Amino acid sequence: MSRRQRVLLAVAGALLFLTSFFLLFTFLSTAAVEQGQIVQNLSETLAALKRGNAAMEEAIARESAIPRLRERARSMGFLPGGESMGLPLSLPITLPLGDAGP
Amino acid sequence: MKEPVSTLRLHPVTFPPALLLGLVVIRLIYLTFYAPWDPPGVQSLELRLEAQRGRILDRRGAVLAMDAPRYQVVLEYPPIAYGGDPVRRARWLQQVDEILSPLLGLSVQEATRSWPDTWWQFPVTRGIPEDLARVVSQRIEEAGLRGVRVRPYWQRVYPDGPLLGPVVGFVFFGADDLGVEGRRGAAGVEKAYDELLRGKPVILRVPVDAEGRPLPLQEEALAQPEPGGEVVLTIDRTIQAIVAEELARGLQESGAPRGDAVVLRPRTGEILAMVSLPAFDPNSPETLDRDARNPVVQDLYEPGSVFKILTMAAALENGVVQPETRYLDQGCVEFGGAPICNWDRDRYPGGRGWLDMTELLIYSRNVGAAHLARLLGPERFYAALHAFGIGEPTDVDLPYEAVMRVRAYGDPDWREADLGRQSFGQAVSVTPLQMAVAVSAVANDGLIMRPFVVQEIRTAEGVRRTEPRIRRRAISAQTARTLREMLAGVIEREAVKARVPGYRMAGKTGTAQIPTPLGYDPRDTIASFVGFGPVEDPQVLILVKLDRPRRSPWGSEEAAPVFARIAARILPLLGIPPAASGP
Repeated sequence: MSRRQRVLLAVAGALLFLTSFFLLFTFLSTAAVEQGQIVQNLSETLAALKRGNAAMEEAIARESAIPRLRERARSMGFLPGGESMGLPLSLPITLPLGDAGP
Repeated sequence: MKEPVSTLRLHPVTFPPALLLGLVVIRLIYLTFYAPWDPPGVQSLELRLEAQRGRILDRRGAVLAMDAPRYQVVLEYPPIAYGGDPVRRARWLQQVDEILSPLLGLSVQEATRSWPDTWWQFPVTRGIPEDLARVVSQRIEEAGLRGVRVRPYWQRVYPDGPLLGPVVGFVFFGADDLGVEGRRGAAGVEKAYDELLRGKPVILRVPVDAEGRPLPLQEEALAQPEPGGEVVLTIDRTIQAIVAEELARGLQESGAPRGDAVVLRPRTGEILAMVSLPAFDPNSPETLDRDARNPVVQDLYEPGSVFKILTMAAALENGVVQPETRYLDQGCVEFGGAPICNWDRDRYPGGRGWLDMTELLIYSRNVGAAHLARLLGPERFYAALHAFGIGEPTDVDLPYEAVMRVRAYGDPDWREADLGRQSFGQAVSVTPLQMAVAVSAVANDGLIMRPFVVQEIRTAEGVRRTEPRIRRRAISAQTARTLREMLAGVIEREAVKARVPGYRMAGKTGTAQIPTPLGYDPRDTIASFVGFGPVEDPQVLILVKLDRPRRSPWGSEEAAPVFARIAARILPLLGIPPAASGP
């Protein structure tokens, strides 16, 4: 092998090495960016889900707040405890002895 | 012989480019690994990712305070994007206005009138709910609108509004001791447990491009803010609502402009309800003025006749009297050079004659209380007040507890007349909570517990429960039992409006004059009642206080019925069945 051929071979080897190196570098960089974007998207999704969860929790808390419950109870015909101390019994209570209880 | 030519030798022509290339490589290595991320000249944006503040729950898990998501529309238009051309900026604003104004219901151009030229960003509107935020974002995307962002943030929400305002408190935006800005607890549990509730925000300096868009984020940008811990209160929201309802009714019927009530478990110190009316709404910043405080903990008053419980306890504990000991009740006596008279001296100018100690409490004799103070002497009297915690904080886990020093024997400003007046609750100031805690010793066999409102703290590290803690023994168990029976007699024989059907309760009325800079107010009073029950095994203590009632000035007339109605409704809720022997 002549000297010129050896030089060409060395140059080709070096080029091959450099090309593989750059290809590998580019592939890894792209993969890293891609993974980063996926992680970022997941992170944003997680934050959005947390916000959605909190929004639902807020809706539940608002619906079960005392003023709201009182309002709903009134609309259903219930009275607050302080306004009625007992049920007005006006039934003709003449139960048979067996059903009268102890 | 020909010398070998070194292949490494550089030709003078190739040296400068090689040097240049080397410098470029070194610079690249520096920029990649060592240079600061935000070199001078690169425009950046400070992004603050606020942590979700922890929830505050009642003892049954109902949400009393929470962070809910809200959205704000922010305009971002860095000067570099329009090159300082106001025409381009105005055109852009007009475009934003045309697209967003119908959705937001406001004129964007009007809203941005106060946008300073030096600001890159300007919040157009806040408080947008999630569904509208989604619609706005979609519209921005469809229209390809640049420089407009819909950003989420956390807003503190109190679902029950004013019902728990004074206890839970509220938050505000401001700087802490280190100058770091953020949301801070300003009152109530929000203030007392701020460190735990607030969590850890993430603050990022993100480089932006010429149009203000953040460049791809670094790894640390993926860091999520750490949410705050949760706090579970001893407060029972249902009991709180009952107390608020009955106190409101008491205010309405008596004509009193304001009032307070506190319910606690004497055995543990747990506070079940703490109500002040009128109350502020922590959801409405406009109501958060100087009245945004908790009067049960922060307001002092002269307690009046309920204080006779402590005087009697001291007398019984020191053995200077027994329940059956009698004394001669006169209408007025002289004490330390000052006259002390009974409240009914017009009806009984010469007093009620010979009374025993139970009757002293039943008929609420000022002269009798002064008689006990004289028998005790100042040293034993003030030692007893100290034992009951009068003149010192209760150590409750709420901020800004008010305390007033008791003018006591040995102080340069003390006079003998003070002893006489203090024996029936004048010339001494306490908060409603301090009074309730002092009386709780009688209900708890002489032991004073530390009052508390937080029963559990939940963080990422785990759950921590507050254990009841004994502060001290005020009186012996025997004295406490004796006094309980005497106080039961007060309700059974005189303060009949405090009777609770099915339960045997004990308590004492109080009608206190209101001190002013010119002496005591000749007209107005503070009507109060403190009681507990069932007498055999006290599970709950209730203090009711009405300021300046109009219909009647007396605690027995105005505060006692409120006490009775509260007790009648909450005792069954606490699982305490009515006794067959009860009235």
